[in-house]
Amino acid sequence: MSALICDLCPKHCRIEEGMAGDCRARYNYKGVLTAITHDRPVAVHNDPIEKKPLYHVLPGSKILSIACAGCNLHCLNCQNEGISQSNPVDLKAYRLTADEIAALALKKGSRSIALTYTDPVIFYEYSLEIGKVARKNNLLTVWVTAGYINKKPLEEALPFIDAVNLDIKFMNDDLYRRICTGTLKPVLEAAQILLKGGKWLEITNLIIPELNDSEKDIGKLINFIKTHLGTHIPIHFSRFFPHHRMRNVEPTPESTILKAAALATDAGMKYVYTGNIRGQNAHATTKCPRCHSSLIERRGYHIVKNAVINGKCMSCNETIHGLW
Amino acid sequence: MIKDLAAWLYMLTFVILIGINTLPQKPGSSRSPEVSKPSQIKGKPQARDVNKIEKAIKTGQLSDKKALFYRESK
Ligand code: SF4
Ligand SMILES: [Zn+2]
Repeated sequence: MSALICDLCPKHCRIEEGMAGDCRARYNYKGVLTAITHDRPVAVHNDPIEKKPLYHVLPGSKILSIACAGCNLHCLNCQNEGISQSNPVDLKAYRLTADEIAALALKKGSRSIALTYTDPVIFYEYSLEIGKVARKNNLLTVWVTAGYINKKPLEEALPFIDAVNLDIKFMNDDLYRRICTGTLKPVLEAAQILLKGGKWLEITNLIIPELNDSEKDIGKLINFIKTHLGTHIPIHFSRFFPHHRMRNVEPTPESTILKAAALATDAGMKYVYTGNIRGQNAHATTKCPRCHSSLIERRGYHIVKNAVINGKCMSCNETIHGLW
Repeated sequence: MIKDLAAWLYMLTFVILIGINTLPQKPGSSRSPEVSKPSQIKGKPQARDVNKIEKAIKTGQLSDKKALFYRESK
């Protein structure tokens, strides 16, 4: 029996019978590539949407968050390695069809469904089915992804996605290779495909000391977003904490994150936020880019004020970008 | 005699201090991230217990859903 080539992500795994791809979620079962985690989520949680993080989509609402086992990247600092770096056969999974997921979301009062924690790319068929059913039930579909996917599958997924939090990890191909076993170019292409496809996009960048914390690194990311995506795209700069196989690196100083936020604001980015910073220093408020009044105030994952009315600033009527 | 001993101790301390300051830093004490693993960009096929996976597919613990986006290798 000949081997199969998976063309879903840029790894293009060649998979012999009885083997799985690099993500462990796609298996050559008797000569057929099989999505073995389909309808088999290992995590199902009803989260605040702010936790994704998505700050410009239905603020204060709940999002039913789903993950299946495996991942096509193997980041040394992975936060969910228990499910992302495990073999699906070794984890206990639920059995839930897309219809059952949508019904659960409605029952729990969620207004959207997130494909998250690991990466929707490696449970692609399930993500598409959930997206289809969600649409029928008036629920939004959100991908929280590293964007490591080939052009064609991403384009075919567009009709079943509403919003995306895209994690751009580094603006450096060598770091993508060494830290995450990935490459940079497909991620930047994915960002542009999503934007062109009319999807709501927010970017997360985890700043790790000595890897991507210089002004040059941060400047490169801001410049890419500003030039190729737009100043209306929210950026979330997040603090790193030692984890998984990167425990020998110190947590990112708050001052580095605040410096990144200041650089982005100075560069003209309209919505700049900080992650993993609590208290007064956090950039957690959405301000009107024109009149600068505070529109959405957050404390942790809670909304304490929301003055965006029909997508506009309550004070000056400026359009506030997002899905409201 | 005491003076000689004091001079000798002073010299010894001096030599030790110089030694400590010029020793190379222990490799493990660096703060730099663990990046020692060779990069592996090409997808590396994973084989675990084939019988276990196929049994899990047969019993429904894992799915038999046909995946999209693949082809036969030439
Ligand atoms: S999705 Fe999985 S099997 Fe397919 S190419 Fe990527 S890592 Fe390999
Ligand atoms: Zn305003």
